[in-house]
Amino acid sequence: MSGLLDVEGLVTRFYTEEGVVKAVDGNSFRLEEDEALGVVGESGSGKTVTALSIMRLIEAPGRIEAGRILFRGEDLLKKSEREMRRIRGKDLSMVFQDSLSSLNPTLTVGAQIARVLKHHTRLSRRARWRRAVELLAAVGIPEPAKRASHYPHQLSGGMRQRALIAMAISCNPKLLILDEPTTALDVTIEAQIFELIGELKEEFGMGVFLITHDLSVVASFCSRVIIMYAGKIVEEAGVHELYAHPLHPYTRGLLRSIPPLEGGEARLQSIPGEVPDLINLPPGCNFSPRCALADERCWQVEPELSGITPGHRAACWRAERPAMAGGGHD
Amino acid sequence: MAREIQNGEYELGAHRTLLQEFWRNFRRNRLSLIGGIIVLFYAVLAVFAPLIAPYDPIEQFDAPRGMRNPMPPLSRDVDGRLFLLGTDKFGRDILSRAIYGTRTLLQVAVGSISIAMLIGVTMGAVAGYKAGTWVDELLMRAVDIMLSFPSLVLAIALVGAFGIGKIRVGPFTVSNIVKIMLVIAITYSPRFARVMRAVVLQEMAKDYVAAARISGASGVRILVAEILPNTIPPIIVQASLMMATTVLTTSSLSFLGLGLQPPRPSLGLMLNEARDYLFWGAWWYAVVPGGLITLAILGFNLLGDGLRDALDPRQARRRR
Amino acid sequence: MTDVLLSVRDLVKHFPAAGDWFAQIFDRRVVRAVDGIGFEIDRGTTLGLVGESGSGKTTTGRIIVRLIEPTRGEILFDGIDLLKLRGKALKAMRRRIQMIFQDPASSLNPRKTVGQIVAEPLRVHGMVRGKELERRLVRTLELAGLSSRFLNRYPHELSGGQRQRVGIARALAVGPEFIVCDEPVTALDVSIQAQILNLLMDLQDELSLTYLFIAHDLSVVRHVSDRVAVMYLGKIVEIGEVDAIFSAPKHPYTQALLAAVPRPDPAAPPRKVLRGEVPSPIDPPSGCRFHPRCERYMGDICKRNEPVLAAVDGGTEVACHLYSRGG
Repeated sequence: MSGLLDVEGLVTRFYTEEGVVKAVDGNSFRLEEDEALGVVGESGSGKTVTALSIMRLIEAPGRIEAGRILFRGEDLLKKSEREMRRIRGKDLSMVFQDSLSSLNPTLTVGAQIARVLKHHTRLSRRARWRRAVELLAAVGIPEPAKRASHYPHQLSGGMRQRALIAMAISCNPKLLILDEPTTALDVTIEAQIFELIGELKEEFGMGVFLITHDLSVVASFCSRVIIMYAGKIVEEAGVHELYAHPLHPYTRGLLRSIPPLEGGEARLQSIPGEVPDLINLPPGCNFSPRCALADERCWQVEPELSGITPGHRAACWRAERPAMAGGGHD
Repeated sequence: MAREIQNGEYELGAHRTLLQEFWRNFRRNRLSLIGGIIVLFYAVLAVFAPLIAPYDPIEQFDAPRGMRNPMPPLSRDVDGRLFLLGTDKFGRDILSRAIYGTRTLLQVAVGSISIAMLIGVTMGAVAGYKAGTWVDELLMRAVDIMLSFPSLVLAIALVGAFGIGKIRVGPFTVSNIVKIMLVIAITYSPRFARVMRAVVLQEMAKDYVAAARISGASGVRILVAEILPNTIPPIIVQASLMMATTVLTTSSLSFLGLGLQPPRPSLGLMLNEARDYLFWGAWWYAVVPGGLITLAILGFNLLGDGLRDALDPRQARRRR
Repeated sequence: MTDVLLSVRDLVKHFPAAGDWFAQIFDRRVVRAVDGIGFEIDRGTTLGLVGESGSGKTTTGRIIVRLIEPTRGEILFDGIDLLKLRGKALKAMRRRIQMIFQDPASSLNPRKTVGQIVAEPLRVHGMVRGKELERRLVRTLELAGLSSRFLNRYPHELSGGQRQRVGIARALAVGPEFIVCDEPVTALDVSIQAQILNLLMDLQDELSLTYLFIAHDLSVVRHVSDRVAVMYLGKIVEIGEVDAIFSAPKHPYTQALLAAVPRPDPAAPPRKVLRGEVPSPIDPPSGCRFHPRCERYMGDICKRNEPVLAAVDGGTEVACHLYSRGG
C-alpha cells in the first residue's frame, strides 16, 4: 500500500565553494491521501529543500543525490523535465512564503491564474477568465471580478497570499505544498488563511504538506508532524502524541522555547548554542553539541530514525528507554 | 546571574579580513582574472614605457633604398635597426609610439576618472543625504540634463567651448592634457553622481544608520564613517567600467583631432593617420593602436564585471 | 508611589500619503500612523506594545528615540520634555535612551567589526579611550553573552542570534536607562528567540532597565511585559496590567486578537477568525476605528463617536463604547 506521497531515502546536497552542504540527508516519510502533514524546523533544517526536491525545483549547485519520491506510485525523480512541467501546478502545487516575489508584477492576478489554466486545461480564453474569477471568489477575495484585473502590488499581503492559493488550487491538485505561507502575515490574517486552506482541503480532498517554523500553527492545522534538524528528520508522530509525549530532546526544547500565552514561568528553557554548519556537521548525532542528555554514544554514533511507540518515530539514543517516553522530565 | 557566554568555539568559522574575503570571491571568476591581468599589463606598459619602448617615439627613421615609410613589421631602416611592428608615415617606430600612446591614454583615463569620481561622488552623496529636498532636486536635475547629451557629443561641445590645445583660465594656463581630463571628467561625473545617490539612499534606509543616529553621531559623521565605506565597492565597480568608456572617448577625441595634439603619441591620433594608408595595405598602422584600444576596453569591462560579482554584498558569502 | 520614567501624551504622527514633494502638491492626504496616543512606563518595568502591521507601534518607538519627528505631542522622560531637546542636550539624552532593532542583519554596519560597532557609541560620546575602552568593550560583550573572541569579527561571520547579541551590546555600551526593543526576536529562530528573551530579562534585572517592547507576537509580549498596550490603526484601544489583559481582555479587538493566536497544543480550542483586514490608515473608519470588523458592533454610537480610553475594573483602560455606558 502506498500513500499519496512516499519519500524514501531522499538526499539533496549543494556543492558550494565552501564544501558540500548536506541540506537533506537521507530522509523518508509518507503523506497519505487527504492528510495534512506538518514539517517543522528552524533555518537550515532542510524543510524547504525537501519541498523543492519534491517539486524537482532544485537548481545548481544543488543536486538530488539519492532516493525516490513516489507521487501516486510514480517516481518523480525518474520523470523528464517536460513531464514534470505537466505535473507541477496541476496535481502537485506549491505556495511560497513571499507572495510579492512569487507573483509576476507585470501581470494582473486574473491573468496569472488564467495562464496556469491555459497550460493545464483546454478551457477557452473566456472560460479561463471566468474560472479565475471563480477561484478568487473561492479563496474569499471580495469583489473578485474587480480584483482579477488588479496587479499584485495593488493587493494587501493577505489578499496576495489568497491569490497565490487560488492559483495553486486552480487545477484541483492532489497535493498542495505550503512553504511558510503565513510567516509574513499578521496573526489575524494567518488565522483567516489557515481557515481557508482547511476548507479547501475538505472541499477538494487534497493532501497538504505544510512547512513552517511555528509549532503552534502545526498543532492547530496538521494531523501528523515531522520535526527536522540539520537536514534530518529527528522525530515524527501524530499531532496529539507529539505534543503530549515529545521524545527527542530537540522537540522538547523547541516546545519549551515558546512562551505560553497563559503566562507562567519567568524564565524560558532555551536550547543553548546554535544550529550547526551543514558543511561541518558534528560527528554522531547532529544535535549532540546542544543536547543536555548527550553522552559518549551520542557524540560518536549517529542515531537512526526508528519507531519508539507505534506511529511515533524518533532519532535519538536516549529516547529508546520507555521511561523517557512516559514523563516529560529531564 | 550567571550567563552562558558564547565564545563561538564551534559556531565561528575561520576569520577573514574583508580583503581576503574579496580575493576569495574575485579569483573564482576566471574572466575577471583575465580582465585583471590585461589591466595589469597596461599598467606595466604605461608606468615603464621609457624602459620598454625600443626607440624614442618621435624620432624619425629613414627607410632603406627600395622601401618607403610606412614600413611593415620586422622591417629594418638604413642603419639596420629592427622595427618589430613597422613604422608610420614619418618613419617613427609604431611599437614605441603605441607604448607611449598607451601611457598617455591611461594617464588621461585615470586622471579624468579620478576627477569625475571626486565631483560625482560628492554630488551624489550630498543629493542622497539630502534626498527629497531642493538641494537633491537641483543636483539631480543638473545630472539629468548632462546625461541627456550623448557623452561624446557633450565632450566635443566642451572641447569646442574651451578651445583646442592649451587654454588660459584667468592667470592660469591649463595644459592640453589636463583640459582633456577635465572635459571627460565633467562628461562622466553625472554617472558617478547617480550611482552614488542610489547607494547612499539604499544604505540610509538601513537600521545601522538609525542606530548611529541614536548613538548621537552627527550627520557628517554618519555620512563619512558609516555610509561612505559601504559605497566604496559599487563606486569602484563603476570606476572600472567607466575606465573602458573613457578609453574609448579619449581615443575618439584624439581621432577627431580634438584631443591630444601631435607630436605627442596617442592611439586615437595614430588611428586617424592610419586611415589614409589602409588602402595601401598598411594594415599594421591601424591594427596596432586599434587592437590596444579594444583590448584595454575589454580588460576594464571584464575587471569591472568581476569586481561587481566579488564586491556585491548581495552575493557575499553566507555561512548557511 | 509609582516612579514614572517615560510619559507620552497625545502623540500624533501623520506622514504625507504621496511620495515626493511634486506628488504632494496634488495629493494632500496623510497617513495617520499614530493618532493621539498616551501612556506611561514606570522605572524598571516593561510596557509591551502590540498590534498588527499598520497599527503604528513601530512609528511610536521611533518617535521616542527621536528618529522620527512627531506631528505633535509631548514625551516626558524623567521629567524632561524629550521633543524640545536639541543639539548637545539631545546628544546627552541619547546616552540614556537606546534601541534594539528587528533585523540584526541590517542594523549592523557590514564594513565594521563587532568591536568597532560596539565602540562607536562610546567614541561618539567621548566616554572612554585606550585600554579602558578595550576593557569596557569586553565587559559589554560579556553582558550580552559574547566572548571577546567576537571583537574582530564581521557581522556576516555571525549567526542571527549572535548578531542580535551584538545589537544588544551596542545599545548597552553607553549605559542607558531606557531601551526601545523593536521586534527584537521576530527575525530569529524559535530556539534562539528564547535565548534572547532570557538575556533581555536578565539584563533588565541586573541593570534595572526600563523597556518599551514592541512586538506582534502576543505570547512573547505576555512573557516579557508588566503592562501591555494594544494598538489598532494608530490608536491605543486597551492598556493595562499584562495578566488582566491576557486573562480578561476587554476590547473586542484584543479579544479577537487573542482568540486568533495559535497554541502549541492540538487540544486547544480552534482559532477564532477575525473577519476582514485592517483598513487603510489614510482614511480610517469614522467613530471607533474597529467598528466595521467588530463582533459587538452597536450601531450608530460606534460609527459616530470615537470612544476614549477609560478605566474599567482591574485598572485596565479600554476605548470602547461597551464600557462607557456603564454596562
